[in-house]
Amino acid sequence: MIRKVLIANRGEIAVRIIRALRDMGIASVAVFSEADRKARHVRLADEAYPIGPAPSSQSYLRAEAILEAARRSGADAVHPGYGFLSENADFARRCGEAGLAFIGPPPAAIEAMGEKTRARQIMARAGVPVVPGTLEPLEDLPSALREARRIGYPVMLKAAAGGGGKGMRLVQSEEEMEGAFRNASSEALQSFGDGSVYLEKAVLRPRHIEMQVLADGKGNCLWLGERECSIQRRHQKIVEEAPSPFVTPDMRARMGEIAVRAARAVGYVNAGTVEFLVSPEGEFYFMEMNTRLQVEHPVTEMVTGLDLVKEQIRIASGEPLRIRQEDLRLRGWAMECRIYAEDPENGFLPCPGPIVAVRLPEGPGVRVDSAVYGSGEVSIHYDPMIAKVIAWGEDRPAAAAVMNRALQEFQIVGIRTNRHFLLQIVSHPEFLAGNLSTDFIPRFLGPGEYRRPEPHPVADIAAAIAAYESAVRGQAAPPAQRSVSAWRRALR
Amino acid sequence: MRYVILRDEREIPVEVVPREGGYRVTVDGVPHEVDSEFLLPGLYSLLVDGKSWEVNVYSPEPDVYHVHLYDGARRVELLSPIGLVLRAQSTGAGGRGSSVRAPMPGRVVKVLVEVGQEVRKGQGVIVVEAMKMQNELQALADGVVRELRAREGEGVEGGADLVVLDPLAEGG
Repeated sequence: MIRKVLIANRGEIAVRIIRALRDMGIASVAVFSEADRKARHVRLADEAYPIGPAPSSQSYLRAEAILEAARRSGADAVHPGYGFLSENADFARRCGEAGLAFIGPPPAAIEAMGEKTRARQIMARAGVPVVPGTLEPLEDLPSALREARRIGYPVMLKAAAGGGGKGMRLVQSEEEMEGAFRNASSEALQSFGDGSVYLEKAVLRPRHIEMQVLADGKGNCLWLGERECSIQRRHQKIVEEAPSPFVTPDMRARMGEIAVRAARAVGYVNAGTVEFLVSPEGEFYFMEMNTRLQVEHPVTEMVTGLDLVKEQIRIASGEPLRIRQEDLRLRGWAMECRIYAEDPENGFLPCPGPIVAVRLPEGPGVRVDSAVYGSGEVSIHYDPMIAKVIAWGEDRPAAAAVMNRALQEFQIVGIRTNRHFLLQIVSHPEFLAGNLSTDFIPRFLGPGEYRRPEPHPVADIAAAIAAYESAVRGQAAPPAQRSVSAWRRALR
Repeated sequence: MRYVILRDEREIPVEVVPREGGYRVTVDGVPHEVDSEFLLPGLYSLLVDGKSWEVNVYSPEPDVYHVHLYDGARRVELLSPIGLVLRAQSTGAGGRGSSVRAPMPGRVVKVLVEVGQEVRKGQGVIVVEAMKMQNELQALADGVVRELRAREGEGVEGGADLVVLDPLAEGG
């Protein structure tokens, strides 16, 4: 029985997990870096402990500090969220040794899937289709050139030790290989402490479709339906949906069964996701398994009616799954948009800075998982993804309409975000037609295609009124209040 | 009160005249009757010629306003006529070269050029990492590297000059 859970994470996912714990009557323990003392997850948790300076290498990635906080708080389990230590087998092992339940898979399963080349070998042996490519990390540039020639361009270079688009490069031709190999290795080394890369045949105009699985360690392993995550920029997902407009019931069942086979092949327990690359002809290949909760898990929750975080906690407590495969019903359509502090016009460069106001969307079909509030700062130290908007509708057009409304209502003032860019995506005719592929953004909203909002007379009017009021009535300010005076200063 | 909006090299005249319950705002010669209600700092309800708008206005720096409408945010540069004159006096100086600037705070991962090296417009000159993302910054024009102001491994401020370029060839 789990009574108190430490969340080894920050941001929206820490908030999400704390909420599930509260729903279950389980105490929550937050950890925070020096930059996060005021963060939402700290305030929502029952307890909170500092774990070090702002850089994540000195705080959220420090297993030692997190285990110490767990010991001090008397927590009996650790939820790693996503990112940070969530796919670190050594951390999972050390939790176990400290008598803490790790809310995630066994260390051996993390290891098996974590090293991407080894995972591909295991999958190939288990009869899970994999993309043609090298099954070993590449030794050097000459071997990369040789293997690429064997498989045929275009190829994709990928970091052996990680995911999330880091250390990943598309190589169209032999001339591009040298630069791409160097950049991918160096980025992999920076991000994962391991510069080894491997290569795969690049499937052109593919879709990214993934299957959620849930295994209880008592022999039950279910698939919960797919998510399509083809809308990506810089190889990172920004719009996800469930189900996929491309997947038929028959394809779903085949994909689900293969995902379960993949999970069983590594002795998987808890929630996990098997990612597939899907060709326009409908062939699908195993890409990797994410041995953790996914950012986009809410869309599965919306269409299945399940709470995946609660399921994770029940599994970690040793409970068997309550549902069977035949109970799975998908209801309606769900979409998720990731709000990033970034500039879509400038290569999606992150835009950290102070937040001065947040207006959250509300109403039927809208869910927001976020850690933003009407003040605070988007720090340079962490991922610029600051909120997720999830929309549900009875079918895909209805879900898209709800998403449109929610994005319109959602305003984050002070920093630049990708909100307008997301609006362009979810109202794009190709998106609405379900014509998705991982090159959707360069194809339809690339440089030259994407435009910032046109000037609008109401914006000019509002700016003029704000300037006028601060000049003329600025003295008669409301009662002194920090945020208000900051506003007055800013509006001077 | 009179203002000027700077947009696309143009100076657009704006006038704000208070009236009962709001303002008459004239933008580029077009008058609008505006019923304006201040709700919270930065948050307004505007009824403009009968249409309803909820608007967030934020001024991150003097004369610059970020105006959030439902379909997206606009940046409006709005000056008083005096501000316009002051601005004209303060600019105008500055060298003829160009430099590559850090778009945001970060850390230099790699410097790709040397002092004295010729670079072409669009060529990558320095790699800066910020928020776990590596970004190769490119020269905005052809030139010769005059000075490197950042070293590998060093932290840099947003807006800092990293690589200073002299214009290429004649007259430079």
